[in-house]
Amino acid sequence: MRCAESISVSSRGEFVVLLGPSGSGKSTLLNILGGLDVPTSGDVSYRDHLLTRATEAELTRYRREHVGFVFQFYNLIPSLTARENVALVTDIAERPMTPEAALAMVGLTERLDHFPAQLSGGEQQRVAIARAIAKCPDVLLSDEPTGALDVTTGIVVLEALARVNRELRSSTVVITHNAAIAAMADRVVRLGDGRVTSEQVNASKVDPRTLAW
Amino acid sequence: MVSVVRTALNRKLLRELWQMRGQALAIAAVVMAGVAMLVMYLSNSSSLQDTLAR
Repeated sequence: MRCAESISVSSRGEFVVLLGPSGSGKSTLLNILGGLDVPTSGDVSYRDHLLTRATEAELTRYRREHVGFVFQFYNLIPSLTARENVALVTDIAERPMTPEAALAMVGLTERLDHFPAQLSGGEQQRVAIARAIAKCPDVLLSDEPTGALDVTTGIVVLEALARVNRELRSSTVVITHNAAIAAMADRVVRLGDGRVTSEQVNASKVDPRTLAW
Repeated sequence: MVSVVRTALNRKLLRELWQMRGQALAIAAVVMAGVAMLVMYLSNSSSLQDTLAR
């Protein structure tokens, strides 16, 4: 399958939204950018590293040192509290923030010792964001972060992503099929049938609180 | 004394072992019953062979 041509996230701290219908190759592209998948042809590079020629160990190191990943269905460990879920990353990262600081950035100071089953969907997604940002990643990748949430909760999660992007200056890529989210991006890349169909730079970004869908 | 490093991953292991303690005990009981049956069989068999030999 052909999936995405000529995409670059150039400037540090850029907020990119990848927009496209189901099956357009968004998740495949994100998994390739995050070093989870390797394309059958073509090249993917991060700074001076060519990811397509990297070994499994080099890809693991790339993911560990540079990439934060947020999944649609949170993927939290049910037997660990919010603080411990974030500590999973801070235990092995090189220069992490504390789990408490990461959870404070997403507004969960009051929920440090709650298990995932004791949290709402939005809170669980914010724990997942805290876990992804705790290592201060250069690249933050989010796969449909609001896909399983209602509008109000989705906006809280988007606010958390926007704040992290602003304060940590992590280049952020959010994939979604929700066109409303495109307004909060610096750049919007539209995908269709595995190809980039259009690319647009927003002159001004919209505050996530003003979004509605 | 063995000291367990208190990483999140170790906590996950200990907590999940504790959560499945019922299953672990049940498996241990079944194994113990099997071993007991084997010991009984071997000692009975040995006694019967001794009796036959007399």
